[in-house]
Amino acid sequence: MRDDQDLNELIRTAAQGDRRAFEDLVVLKRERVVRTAFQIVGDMEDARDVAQGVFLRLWRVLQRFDLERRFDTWLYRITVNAAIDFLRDRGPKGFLQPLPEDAGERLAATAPGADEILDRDRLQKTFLRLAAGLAPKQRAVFVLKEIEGLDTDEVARVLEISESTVRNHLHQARRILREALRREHPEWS
Amino acid sequence: MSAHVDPRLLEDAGGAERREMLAHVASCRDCRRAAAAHDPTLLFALLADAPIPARILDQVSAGAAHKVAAASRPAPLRAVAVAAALAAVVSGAVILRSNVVPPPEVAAAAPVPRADVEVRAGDSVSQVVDFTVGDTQVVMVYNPELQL
Repeated sequence: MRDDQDLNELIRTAAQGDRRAFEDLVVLKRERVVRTAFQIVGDMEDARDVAQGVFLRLWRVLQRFDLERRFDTWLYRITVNAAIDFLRDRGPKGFLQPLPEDAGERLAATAPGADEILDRDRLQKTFLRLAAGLAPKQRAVFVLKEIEGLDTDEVARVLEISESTVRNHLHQARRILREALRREHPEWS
Repeated sequence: MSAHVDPRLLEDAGGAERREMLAHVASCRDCRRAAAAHDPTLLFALLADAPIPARILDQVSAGAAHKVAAASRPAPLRAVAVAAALAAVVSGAVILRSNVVPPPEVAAAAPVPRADVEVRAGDSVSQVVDFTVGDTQVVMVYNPELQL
């Protein structure tokens, strides 16, 4: 893992037009960018496309980056904005659809219990399905705070909103997800 | 961490402390049950280290490198490319115009009357150009020995 000094040197070199340095920067940050985009757009191929766009934008604006600031916050901002733009361009596809009447019984029969929750694939699918019912900003806040583990003040800086707005979005997102989980996966709680 | 994780603390934790708690929850069945009972949305935090397929990561690098290379092409080369494209469009227009059949009334118009021009000179006449502009006939003679 590079320390901040190495990262700043890499950024400085890339910002001067060194494509090799920029490619190293991409390798260093691509997993985080793809993961964040994936949790917001909900599809791995779409997340890949968003990430490629993020890095092209990064290349174009890197000269403007202030090395006194935190690079990851800046990169998260570009990523989240690109992912939200993607969601808006895509339209309502993927939003929560009404469940059939017997869905609760079928889900209870197939859903993982608390012991199986470590099956990340199922956990991931459950999150993506339920998160489709969140507004883009609520979803972005939840992903940054709960999955990426950012502090509230950093989420606020990434999204350029106040900390109280972050807390409000988070509260709403948790409530919506919790209600959906308890309705569809009563065995989880 | 040997003690169980209090879900209320996990809810508010950040940074390294949170990562440590999540690592414990991921490996402790009782803590997962406690977290799920307190707030099942806490379990989504376990997606933090979900692996991304190497194929996708490679495609991101390759795609980004391709886009950056295209965006980094030197401006003069891009100008040449634009100029070449314009030239192609203009020549296409000229070729198209040259193939246009004149309107019938123009094609049928009477030819402009022309005078016969005779230039008497020695062998030194190098060039005679005879053409019309509208109704005007123009004759250009180049002969360094011609005396008018």
